[in-house]
Amino acid sequence: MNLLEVNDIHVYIQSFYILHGISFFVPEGKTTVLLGRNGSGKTTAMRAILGLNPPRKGEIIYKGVNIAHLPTHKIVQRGVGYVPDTRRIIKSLTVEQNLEIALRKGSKTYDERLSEIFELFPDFERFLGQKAGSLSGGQQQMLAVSRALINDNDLLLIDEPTEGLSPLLAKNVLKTLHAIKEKRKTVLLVEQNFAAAKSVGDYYYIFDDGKIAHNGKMETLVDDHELISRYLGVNV
Amino acid sequence: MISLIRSINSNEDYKKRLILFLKIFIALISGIITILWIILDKAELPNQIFKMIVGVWIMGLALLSIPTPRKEKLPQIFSLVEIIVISCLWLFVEVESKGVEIFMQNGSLTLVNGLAFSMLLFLMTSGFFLIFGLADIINFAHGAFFMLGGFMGYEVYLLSESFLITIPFLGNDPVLLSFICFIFGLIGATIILGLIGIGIEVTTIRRLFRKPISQILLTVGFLYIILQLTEIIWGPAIFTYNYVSGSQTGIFWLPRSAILDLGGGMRFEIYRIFLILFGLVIAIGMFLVLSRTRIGLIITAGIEDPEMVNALGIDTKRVFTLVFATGAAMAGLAGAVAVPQVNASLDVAGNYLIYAFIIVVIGGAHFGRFAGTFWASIIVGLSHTFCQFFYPGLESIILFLILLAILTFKPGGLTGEPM
Repeated sequence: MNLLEVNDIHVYIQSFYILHGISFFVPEGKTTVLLGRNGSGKTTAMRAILGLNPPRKGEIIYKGVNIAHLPTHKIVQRGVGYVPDTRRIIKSLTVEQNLEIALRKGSKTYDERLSEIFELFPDFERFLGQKAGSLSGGQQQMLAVSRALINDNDLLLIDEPTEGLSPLLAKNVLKTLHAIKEKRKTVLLVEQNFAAAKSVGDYYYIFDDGKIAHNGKMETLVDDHELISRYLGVNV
Repeated sequence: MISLIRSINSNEDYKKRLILFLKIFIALISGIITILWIILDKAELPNQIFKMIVGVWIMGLALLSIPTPRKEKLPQIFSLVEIIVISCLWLFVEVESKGVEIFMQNGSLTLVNGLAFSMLLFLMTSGFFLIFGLADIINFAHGAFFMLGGFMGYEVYLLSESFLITIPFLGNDPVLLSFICFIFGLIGATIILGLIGIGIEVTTIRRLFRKPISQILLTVGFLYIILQLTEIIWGPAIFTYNYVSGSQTGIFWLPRSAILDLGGGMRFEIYRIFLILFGLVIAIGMFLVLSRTRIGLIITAGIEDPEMVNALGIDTKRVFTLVFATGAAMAGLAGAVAVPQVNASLDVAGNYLIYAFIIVVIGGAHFGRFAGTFWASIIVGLSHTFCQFFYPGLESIILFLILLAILTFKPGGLTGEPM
């Protein structure tokens, strides 16, 4: 069953035509990866789902309801967590305050949710009182992911989580993605790092110039060296 | 010249060295000129030259606020030593020429007056900063809100007096009656301006989100509408609590003639002390709200990244409305509390708007913090009052000199980042 269905959306940023009628599906409990070169429209697709760049035409069906023209906060309140590509943590607040403003009312208490985050990031407890701006790149990424996990979100939109991180930190982030996957969370992931994408992804969509060039199960893509090299510029 | 500019743009190292050189040069020149000024002070140099020299001295002061990398600590240490030496020399000359008692009297009086003025500026500008910081709206109508707050406070004062005077124990105690009416005036002005703020935000400003030019034109329009309406309703009159026209008792609870005498010539207007305490209480309250409550944290986060706050599931439009209303309400409160000191008149709208701009730029407008506005208000209030007292005539240019120094050396202001 698909948790999210994107049907023929056309997205403009100011007068630029970015997404030319793309469609894709995100099955429940699976990780779907959007692949493609820089500027192919992956992040815009994610922002369109969130209502930050709403589509001029097309439907975005989430849990059976068209959310294409809802305001961003209403979309998020329906159970969508977002980890943006540049992390965008609030630097002037502490780590705990960052989590506090992200927290929405739900079935679990704040402490229960916090202990779940500590399970995932054991080091995190030490940083709670620290200003978020003083964290290292990897720690900031942890915070950005935690901010999305602090609520019981049904869908996680994660945009390039390994971008700008050292190989060691990227490996840690990947470990986190695997842990999220084990919890059977539904994830839509944008990832340039093909090795990371193939290790966590169940399904893929390759974006090319605002259109979807190819899609399928991740295991089929792994064997298609020509496709990978043509669209992703990666020599396998 | 062009090749020099090019080389500055293309070569980061060269640029850094040039800035370092400029810092040392300005600190050195300002130091030499100031020492000369102090030495020549007794020779009675023309007043105009003093003014220019003090300006350069202030430039030296501004150098202190420049953050420099660890390797470039020299100019900061130099500036610090220079300022301490110059301040000691200045103190020595002042005390020598005027005597300890006169100096203490003048100094303490200026300090109290300056702090009272600073708090007034802070009360008014805090709302301006919140509106600009969170919603990127340069609210030209803010000065008019401040002015209107004064008139509203005055009207609510008279209205509540006409009701409360009928209560026997208040009718017999005009001072208590005046105090209660004044508090009603403050609350009334705050609520009325808050409601006006909500009305303006919901009906117009909201529709011009991220259209700065349109917002400026709109708020300038509101500035003129409010000014003209005020003139139509109240005429060009100046209202003051020292002579409460329309009051049935004619007595104000804390007139300007109420003086706190500490002896030794140190006499302070009690209302100014009240203003300092009132401003501090509001500042602490606002600081606690912004740093301890969820809505405060959301506002702080919204100043830094409104889109991300929206993507966390928070209705930023409602937060904008709340902040705009709070900003207008704070201006109303400031206007009402200012009237016993600066009187309610049409002139204050424009005059105080300029202060708000200067303070927000010095404190740090872009990604700036609330504390920046507080300290900038203190800097502006004190430097203005000190110059007014010790170097009359200079007060009108001193603020722009500080502004110039900040924009040159720390374009993001005390707490913000460059635009």
